[in-house]
Amino acid sequence: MSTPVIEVAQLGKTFQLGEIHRDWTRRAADRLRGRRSPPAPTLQALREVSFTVPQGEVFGIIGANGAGKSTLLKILAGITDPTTGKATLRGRIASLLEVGTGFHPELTGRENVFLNGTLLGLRRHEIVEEYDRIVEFAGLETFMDTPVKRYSSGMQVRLAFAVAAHLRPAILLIDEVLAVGDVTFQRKCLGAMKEVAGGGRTVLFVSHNMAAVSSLCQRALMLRQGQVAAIGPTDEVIQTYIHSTEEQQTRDALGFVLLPERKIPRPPEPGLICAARVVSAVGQPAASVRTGDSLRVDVRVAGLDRFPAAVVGLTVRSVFDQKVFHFNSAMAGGFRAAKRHPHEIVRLEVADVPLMSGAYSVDVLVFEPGVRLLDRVDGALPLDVIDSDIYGFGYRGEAREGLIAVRGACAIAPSPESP
Amino acid sequence: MAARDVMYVRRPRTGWFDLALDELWAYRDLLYTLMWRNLTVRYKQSAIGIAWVILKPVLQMLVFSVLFGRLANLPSDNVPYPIFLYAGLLPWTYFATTITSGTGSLLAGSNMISKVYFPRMILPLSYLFTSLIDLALSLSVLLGMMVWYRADMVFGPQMALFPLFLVPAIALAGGLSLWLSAIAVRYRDIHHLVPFLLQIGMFVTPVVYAVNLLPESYQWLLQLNPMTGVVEGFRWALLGKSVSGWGIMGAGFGLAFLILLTGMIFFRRVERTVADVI
Repeated sequence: MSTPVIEVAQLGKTFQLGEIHRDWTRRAADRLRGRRSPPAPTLQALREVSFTVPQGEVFGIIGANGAGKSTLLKILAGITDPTTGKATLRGRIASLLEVGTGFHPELTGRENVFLNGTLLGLRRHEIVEEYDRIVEFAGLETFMDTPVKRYSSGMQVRLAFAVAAHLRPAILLIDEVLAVGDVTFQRKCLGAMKEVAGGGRTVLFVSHNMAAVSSLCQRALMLRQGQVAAIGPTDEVIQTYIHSTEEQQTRDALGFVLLPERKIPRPPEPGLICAARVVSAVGQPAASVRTGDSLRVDVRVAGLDRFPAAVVGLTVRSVFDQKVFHFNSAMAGGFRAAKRHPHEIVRLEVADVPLMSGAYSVDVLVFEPGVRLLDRVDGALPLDVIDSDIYGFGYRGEAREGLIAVRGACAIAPSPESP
Repeated sequence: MAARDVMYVRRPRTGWFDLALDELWAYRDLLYTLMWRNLTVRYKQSAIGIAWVILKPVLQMLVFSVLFGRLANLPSDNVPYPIFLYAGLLPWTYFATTITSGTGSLLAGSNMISKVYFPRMILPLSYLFTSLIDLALSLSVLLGMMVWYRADMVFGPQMALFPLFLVPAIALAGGLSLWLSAIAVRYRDIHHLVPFLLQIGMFVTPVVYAVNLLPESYQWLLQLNPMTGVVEGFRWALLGKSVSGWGIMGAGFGLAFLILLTGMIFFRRVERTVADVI
């Protein structure tokens, strides 16, 4: 198959900012006074995006929030027009851009299957043929006559995904649907997506879930500020993505990463954690440690003396956002009778980092145990773990094989002949 | 694979006259589904449900009969005033409910519009057919009334012709819904304006009175209103009343179709940016 199923060339999209009707009245007023209105402020959401996807490929799209991923998918789905450029899609398209898109809360599950199906361009008789399989896939047999407003969000995704997956589209556009739904269902969706792709169909997959992207997609595209920042084999693009988030951090002279930003939900004491750094085994600020070495994280705090019972901790996460381990000051016996100051540096030292080589990130948090969270910075520090010869036999382990580094023994013995 | 022969090209659209009627046809099942959705959703969790469809014009008929028939004593061409009124209220109620729900249809469906592609025209158009079912139900009341008053009605072949007069009503309601819903996306002011315009509209249409109530020199103005032709056509077919002028009625109907055509062209133009604005 030589012609690609999706061909995107020089695609661009500009949004007009500001309130539209205000704009209109102001313009009219300006015209009356014989003045020229200043041009309306605009936002370039996409800029010269080009790529092609061959038939049967699962293609990932990653990037930070506001990078233009959703805009790109909306243009491909036909929801909105591009301002410049052109995209060609060959085959019927189904899009899953959000949970329960075409669902009407007052209608029953059954009625919504038909609404959803026809909304995606299917004929009613085609839906009738697939109906039983859709219900079975969603696992909602007993709920089909219940209004959708009584469904949980997980149930709604299941139904929406079930409809889309059974449309037999040539192209499936998926945006973050896996964010909802339980683990079992996510696994089922991933399976269904693999199956969809295996059947010669093409899938475009937008997600923040790097684990899902890396396990599903052969190739990926990274968007940054509306432009293509990287394109190629998924693992390489994910690496670029991870390193690009580090570039945005500012460090001071002592190697501390300044942490003024808090992700939502905003913690109650967002000023407590000021900065943090990783210190290597030899006492230098670093961005990496070796497997089996000790890991020291210094956290600069302000006003922690106001909370004498507070515990300072760190959580190490994998690329796939799984928490790998947590360590805090209470585990090390607390600060005891140390004299407190308004400005302090808290040192947390983890002995023998048990991580396989790969990219990780460190969350820093302050909390009163059993009472409340005081402050937390997710992804405060990047952490590269570099392999070392912990086994003593030259074997280099990688995070891909498993995150935790363990040591052990092996032996071989003769077995009785199998019958 | 059969699905492979369709091809979509996304690029900035230009031009005025691409109505994409073929696409509208391809999505006809969505039109049907939405029509049923409109109907079922409207009366879910209401005690008497679908009976409201009949009750609304009947209650309106009772109020207006007392107000205009008894108190103002408006003439009704030798037909009992309630029947005369109701035969006019039927197409008018159809027109008014279609416009009201059609105008808000894009905003009500904004969730769908920003997440799925489909010909957006289907949203306002679906209400054309939903209200048509209301009309059919209300019509049964009229027949009941005609038997009740034992008026010397002509139950003749002429009666079968009344659906003919629905065609311009559908065209006009559709055309105005397209215009108004497209404008309402940018200027929500329309939602405040429409009920007011409909109120005026009802009085520049001979719903509660007959055309000959006006001085002859002004009648043509009233007759150019396509809804005048529709109301008169209903009374002609169902009650055997004479029509004030066939020729000018045709002109009014022509105007209705012109509004529909321009409405479609305008709507297609606005459709391009609707997902960004809504």
